[in-house]
Amino acid sequence: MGVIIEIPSALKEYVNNQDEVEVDGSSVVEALDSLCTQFPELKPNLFEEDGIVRKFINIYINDDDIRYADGIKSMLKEGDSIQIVPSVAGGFQ
Amino acid sequence: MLPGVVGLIQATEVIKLILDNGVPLKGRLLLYDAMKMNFKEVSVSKDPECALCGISATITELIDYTKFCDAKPVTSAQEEFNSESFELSPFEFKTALEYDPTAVLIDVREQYEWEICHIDGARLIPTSSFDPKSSGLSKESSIYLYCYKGQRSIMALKELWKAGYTNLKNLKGGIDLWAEDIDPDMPQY
Amino acid sequence: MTLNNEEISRYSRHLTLPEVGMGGQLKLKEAKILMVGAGGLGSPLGMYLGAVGIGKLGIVDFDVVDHTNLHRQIAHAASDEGRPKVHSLRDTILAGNSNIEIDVHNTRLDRENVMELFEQYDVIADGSDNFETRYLINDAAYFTKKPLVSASIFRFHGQITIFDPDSGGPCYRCLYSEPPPAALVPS
Ligand SMILES: [Zn+2]
Repeated sequence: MGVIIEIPSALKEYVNNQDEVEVDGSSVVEALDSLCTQFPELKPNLFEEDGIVRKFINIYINDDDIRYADGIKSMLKEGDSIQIVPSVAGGFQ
Repeated sequence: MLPGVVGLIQATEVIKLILDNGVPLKGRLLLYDAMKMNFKEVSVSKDPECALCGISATITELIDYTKFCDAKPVTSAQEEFNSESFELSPFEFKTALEYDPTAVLIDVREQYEWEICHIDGARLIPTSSFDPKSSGLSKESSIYLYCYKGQRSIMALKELWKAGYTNLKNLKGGIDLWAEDIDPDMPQY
Repeated sequence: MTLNNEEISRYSRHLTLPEVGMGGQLKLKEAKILMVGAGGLGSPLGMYLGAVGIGKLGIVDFDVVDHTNLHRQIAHAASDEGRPKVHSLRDTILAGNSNIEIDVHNTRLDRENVMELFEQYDVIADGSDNFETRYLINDAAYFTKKPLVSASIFRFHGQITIFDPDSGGPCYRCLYSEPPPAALVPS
């Protein structure tokens, strides 16, 4: 199943400067795996070494935080989009 | 202007809180993308495990924030990798470049930064497309790297180091410090 | 607290709005807002809060106006280069509305000064530019039970929300429990 992953500007450089990438996957982890296979440099930015999502990154299915669903195992429905939102600190840039 | 819009939304929310009117931006994170010119909203829930406001909070007074925000190793390899051992001050960097016949100078910033200024003789390989394998760089040559402030170039340097390159130098303080110490005619940004 | 005739005329378009009215305008006049950061976010934030008639505005920043700030930090003029940002922003706000009181704190917010400062205000607005300060502000706002209106920016991307754990909402740590490792923060 095709799903759109929206990439934040802080991570765009790892995905050839695209705003969004369409991947296959029926769960968040499948979709992110497929994204990281295409763009291996992205992986250490999204995941800790033990495979958990980095704590300064939140992942949403549509507008819901996956931490309050089934985490990265959360299932996707047709038409869902995944949003990756990293913590940013700037007040001036 | 990007921050302008965001600051005005922030002001609006402050004013609504004071007036105690309208629907405040609580439990919702508003995301603004100036390039796409769109606003999105995602939900923000209270985390029962929050270290500050959660059920078994561990933070009960102000902590050492410098320590809390200090760099944690990105990978375990970083522990053996001592970035300082590759760093040269702008003056040392310039001298070494001039005396080193095998020197190759690499700028790892992005194209738009290159267009503002760059060091003569450099070759541009942006970090966004930096890959030791396809870089064509020889392990026989000395590779001199720089970026804006020295952070991205050290990451590129580390990639090369992991890929088996040994003769590596990083410009401490990046082109920004270079402009200050070596080339006063170079624009700073 | 009342409005004088100049204020009544100044805020008349507010006074005739049912959402604000005299009651709302007096609430604004009684309000005490502390803003952290007098840069890209702080400029429009402070100018707006000043114009709208917030009674007391506190501004914290330790930076001085630099030439490279001028294209986006609109409260600062070319003639302000080298001046503390808090002074430059204060003067810009007061030039528009001299009815309000502005307290400037030309200092870096830290563990020693943050609690006492926050106690004096009703709402905190975070427009700071680094993670250390953001976590400090969050924790201090939690301990002093002040709502925190938080905004941050990266390149062309902005994030805005209100943290108010005292009224049951989340805090900054609920959203992001840890900052990125320094090596992953783009320079
Ligand atoms: Zn919390």
